[in-house]
Amino acid sequence: MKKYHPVAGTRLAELDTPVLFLDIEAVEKNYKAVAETYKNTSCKMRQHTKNIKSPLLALMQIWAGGTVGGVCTAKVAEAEVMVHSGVTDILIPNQVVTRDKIARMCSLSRLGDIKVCIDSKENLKDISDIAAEYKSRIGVLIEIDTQMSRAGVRNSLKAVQLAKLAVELPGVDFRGVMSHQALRGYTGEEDRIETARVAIQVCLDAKEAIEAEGIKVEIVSSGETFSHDVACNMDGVTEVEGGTYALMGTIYGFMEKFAIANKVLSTIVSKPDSKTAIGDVGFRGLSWMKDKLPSVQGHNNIRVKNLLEDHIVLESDDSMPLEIGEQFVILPYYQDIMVNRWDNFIVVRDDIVEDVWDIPGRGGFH
Amino acid sequence: MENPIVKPIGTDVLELDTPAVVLDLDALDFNIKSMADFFEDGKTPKLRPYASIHRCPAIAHKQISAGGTVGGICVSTLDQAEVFADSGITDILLVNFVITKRKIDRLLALAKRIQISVVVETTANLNLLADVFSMENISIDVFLLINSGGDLGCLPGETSINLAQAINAASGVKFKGIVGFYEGFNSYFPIHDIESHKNNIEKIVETKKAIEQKGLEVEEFCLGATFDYEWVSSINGVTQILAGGYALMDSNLERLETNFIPAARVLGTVTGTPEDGIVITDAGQKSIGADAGTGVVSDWQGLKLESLSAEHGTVLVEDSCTKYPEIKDKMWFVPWDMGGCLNSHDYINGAREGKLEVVWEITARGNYR
Repeated sequence: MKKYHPVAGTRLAELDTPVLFLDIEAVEKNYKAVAETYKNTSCKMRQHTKNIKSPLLALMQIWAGGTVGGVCTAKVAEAEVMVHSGVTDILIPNQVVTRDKIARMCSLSRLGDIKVCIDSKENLKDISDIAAEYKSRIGVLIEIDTQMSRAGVRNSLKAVQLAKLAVELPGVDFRGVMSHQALRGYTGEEDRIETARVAIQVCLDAKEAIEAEGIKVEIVSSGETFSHDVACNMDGVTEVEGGTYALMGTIYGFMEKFAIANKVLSTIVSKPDSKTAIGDVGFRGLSWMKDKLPSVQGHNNIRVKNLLEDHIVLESDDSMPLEIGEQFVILPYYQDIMVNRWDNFIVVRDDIVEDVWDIPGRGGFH
Repeated sequence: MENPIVKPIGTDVLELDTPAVVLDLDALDFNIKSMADFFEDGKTPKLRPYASIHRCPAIAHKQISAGGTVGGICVSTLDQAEVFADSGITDILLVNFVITKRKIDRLLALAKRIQISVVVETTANLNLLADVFSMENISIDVFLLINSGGDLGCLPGETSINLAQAINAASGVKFKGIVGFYEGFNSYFPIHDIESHKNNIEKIVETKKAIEQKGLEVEEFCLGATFDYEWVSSINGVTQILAGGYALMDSNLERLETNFIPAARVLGTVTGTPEDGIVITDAGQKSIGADAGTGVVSDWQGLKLESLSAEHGTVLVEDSCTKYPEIKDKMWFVPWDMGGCLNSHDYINGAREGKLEVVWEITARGNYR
């Protein structure tokens, strides 16, 4: 890893490319939008750090308001990055199963409020045993599968059984329920809202079933960027796990309250014919999701035709306006995997470099 | 940066913090030796390993010291070239275009330290290089990149012949030869379409002959990748083979009938069995890579890697499965595209007979500039 650290005051046009940069005004806009959305709701944002990998970006949302004061992290390594930087209210909406990693959660629990999601009896017992052994307490939430067929219990009965067991076992505190959802293609507001409502209701049903057994459900953590404004209007949801909204991708381009903040600056290195141009970054740096290609900012007539290892192939209907040596800006379709491939953000305001921020959670998939 | 719990040397690899890239050093040595043996009998061509797949100087040095090579490597970006130069490699072919003043200055600085050569596909690029290098009184070796069917490279025939002549006439640059196909085109190249590939290479060979007929010397003619190195080596006039995937392999290359063994794999852990027939693991897109394809489960009959999301793998249990996976079980994955997988990791765990022997830094990870 060789880091690129241009000095503050450098103009965007002077940067060596390709480079990942943050349009910091877009970040500020997105964080303010979240603060506004949750200003008067009891439900708050618990930002997902898998999308930002930066404790500073997490703290900025906490400072801006609208949050529970904490974050969720995809993995234990990401939780360590956050706790070590002072973000100590952590929910890991994922399963942590190995002894080493459970021990690491126990260590973190000395510094903060560490919560993890479970979907099996065996995992719950392991966490309980190890937490008891370390004389620490780990919060547990039951993960509910609502539509993704990935992790999570498949019915409320199983959730109730696990909640009952969590209440009895030492070393763990039963805290609530959690679910993820995904919007598979945007077809309009009605479908977006309905998809969100149906999925989140599955999680709320599990909460009610657990409460019917006399067990208190403190946290209902559900909702993502696409459903962030639906979740907070459903009675019982206490927090939303939005992640993409912070830096955004064109996948959620229909949500105008959020702007794309993470962009890649690239340079045209070749023009094989009058309609085609080649830029100096490819799928190694941009990431790639099958037919989902990134876009070129400010040029509606330029399409991304292909991604190569270290090149992007651009195509124009008419003659290609970009010349060899000219810079252009690439907007990601999906930003999570892209950010994970860079070691720092060049922070830019009004096309001037303001700062350079590390991405310490990069590669934090342990 | 990646921050795993680093286990002591000698640890059983199944105890490593997952997801982890584990490189079987015996398999690596076997693959490197097999390739070296092919090129080691004094014949032309020689191998110039493409190092942008592993991005790891320790592995590049093993490739060179095994023999059969030109004594150098090729890479896909300038900052990778800088990293490998810093590790002591003194001959690097940069299979990319250096356009901007800032980068040409870096190329110039590198040219003062090592034998660096570069490719061009446009006259505009050639002129930019020639302007700076002629002013500095330094000559840089320039290769003409000829299109082999993909999106990069000067079209074979007249366009290429003209550009070769322009390179030859320019000051500050030396026309060194031709680059056609290299391993960097591999992760998306449809390997099954061998016939159209051969036709494309044939056009490059014809163009090379035409350039020579104009009185130009094509000192080096570089072609080839893991899937076609044997065939390409038999083409008259080819001097360098730019293969790289053979060392570590991946599930894309495993479809070929070669004698190379999958050497690098990702070790994951089962984190849940939430439903009959579905297994969830901790290795997803961020650790295996999924740009060009997702890869396969290895060493476990009847398991199918169904999909990768950012942080999870979803594995389906088929009827032929003999041992049903349980939570905490370890599972091996062979990525589809090893280059993409390693570009997400900062470390490779080298192991022999299942015991951790060395941890290598993937020093050129994330180097796109």
